[in-house]
Amino acid sequence: MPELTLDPQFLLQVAKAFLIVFLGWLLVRLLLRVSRSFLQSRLDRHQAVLMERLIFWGLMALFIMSALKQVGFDLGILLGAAGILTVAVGFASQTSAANIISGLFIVGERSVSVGDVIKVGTYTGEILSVDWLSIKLRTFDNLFVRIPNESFIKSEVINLSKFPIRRFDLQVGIAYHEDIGHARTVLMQVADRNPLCLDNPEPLIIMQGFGESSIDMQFSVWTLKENYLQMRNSIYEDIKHAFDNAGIDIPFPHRTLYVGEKTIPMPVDVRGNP
Amino acid sequence: MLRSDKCRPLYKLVFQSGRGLAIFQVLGRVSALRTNVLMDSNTKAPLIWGAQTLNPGDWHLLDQLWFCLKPAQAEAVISYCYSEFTHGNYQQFSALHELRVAGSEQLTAHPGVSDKAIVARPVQAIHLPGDSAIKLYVGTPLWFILRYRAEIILDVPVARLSDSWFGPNTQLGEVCYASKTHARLSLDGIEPNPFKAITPVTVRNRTNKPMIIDKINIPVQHLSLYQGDHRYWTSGIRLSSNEKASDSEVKISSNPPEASQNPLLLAPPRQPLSDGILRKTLDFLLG
Repeated sequence: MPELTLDPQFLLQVAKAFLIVFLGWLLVRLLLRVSRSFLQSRLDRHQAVLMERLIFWGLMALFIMSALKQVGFDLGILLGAAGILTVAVGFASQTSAANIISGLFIVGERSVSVGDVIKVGTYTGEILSVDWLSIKLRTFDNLFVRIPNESFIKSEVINLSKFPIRRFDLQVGIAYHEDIGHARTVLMQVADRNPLCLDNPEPLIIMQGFGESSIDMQFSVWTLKENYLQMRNSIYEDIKHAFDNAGIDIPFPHRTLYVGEKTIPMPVDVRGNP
Repeated sequence: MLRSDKCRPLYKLVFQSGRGLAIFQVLGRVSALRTNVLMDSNTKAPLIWGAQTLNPGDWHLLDQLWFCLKPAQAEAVISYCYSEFTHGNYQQFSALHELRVAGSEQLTAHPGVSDKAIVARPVQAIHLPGDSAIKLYVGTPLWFILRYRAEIILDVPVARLSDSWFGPNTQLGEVCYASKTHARLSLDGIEPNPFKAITPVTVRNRTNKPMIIDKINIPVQHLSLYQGDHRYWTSGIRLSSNEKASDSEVKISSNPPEASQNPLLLAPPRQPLSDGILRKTLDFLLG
């Protein structure tokens, strides 16, 4: 059995390599600690974490390569092998790679972040996390939904909580015999009395046209995003009360039967019980 | 007519006292409700200080806020709701809220200022020529703050305020309350009201262009509350606009307003500013 001899020179080089990695690790940690507040002040939480990871692994890769060179590895061969491996892994994990790259774009675009309420396809929910491969949602009926980053980036996403205020467009119709000006005044009073409706931007009434059974209008009121549901529920009730009190008729669909210019009243035959 | 906009059960309230009468209550073990927000219903001036006694379970009115304290064994039940006096009746327009305080120590009540900025409008838009100044008086509702020991258990306005948005567009701006009363150019137009604090606002136009004041953002949450002889006051503010819109600022006076007589500090600012200066672009201050 051949005797295992360790060259002291080689041991020294290995020790130096370990020292390089250790000192590099310390240096990178120090650098990250110093730059953390800077990153967090300019980027959101996800971007800051991503940037920290990139800095950490980028610099550590340099130190590790330097250490390997110290031990005597030929980096050219190593990098070539890494390149081939990357291609092989890339082919094998196309979906994951696509998701990771999509994830980078999602974080970079800043269109959504944790805590936002979004609507993607048929799902509406609050974002729990934006991860490397997927976005996790909690829907309002408490379901956990995982959306792969690739499909997320291809879908139309509505962020319901991006801006602090939202507008609610309510469709309301009044009977043809009602005074539009009066109905308009009553609607504006409803918005004025409901504390959840914003005073500014002012509520808006848009005439939608003469409908089949009613004069249709759109009543648009603004509210804080957190009060949206509460306002939406209360405003219908308020309008119904206000219209009832003001004697304004909210019509239901009905038809008038007309059977010609000189028609006589439609004969109605009323028979008593035998 | 009593109406609810919430799903909580409603109690039919029997209102006994006239509008504007607020009194103190002794609550069995919760020995006394001590308050300094008391006022006289006839003169509408804040007069009474110290503990008072009344029948437990009575409803009391502070502007639009009705509240009632009921003693129970080692606890107190505080109920409140809002109503307004229209067509000769009180119309309740909020659900009844109830909270229970476990304990038998004294409750204290005191007035406070709003927790958000309040937007007020003058009766008509004011045209302010370049390099000139104007003084406005704005009345803002007080908050009713109830404490058990040092902890705030109720912090509500005495009148229900509507939310509003103040900013250059619907993306940039600040959530505020909308004032139901107008900013006035003179104190004569403002009757002493025990439920409102008056903020003197000086607007100085340092530019050489005229400025139109249609609405004004009063950062009430940064102001102190004082009691004068006949009115409540907040610290005065000085709002100045410069050529560069980004240089506009609101300077908050550290002294009581000059017009308040014998001022007494009732409450410090909710959100104090370190140097008393609020720097904002003009879009966030005037509309």
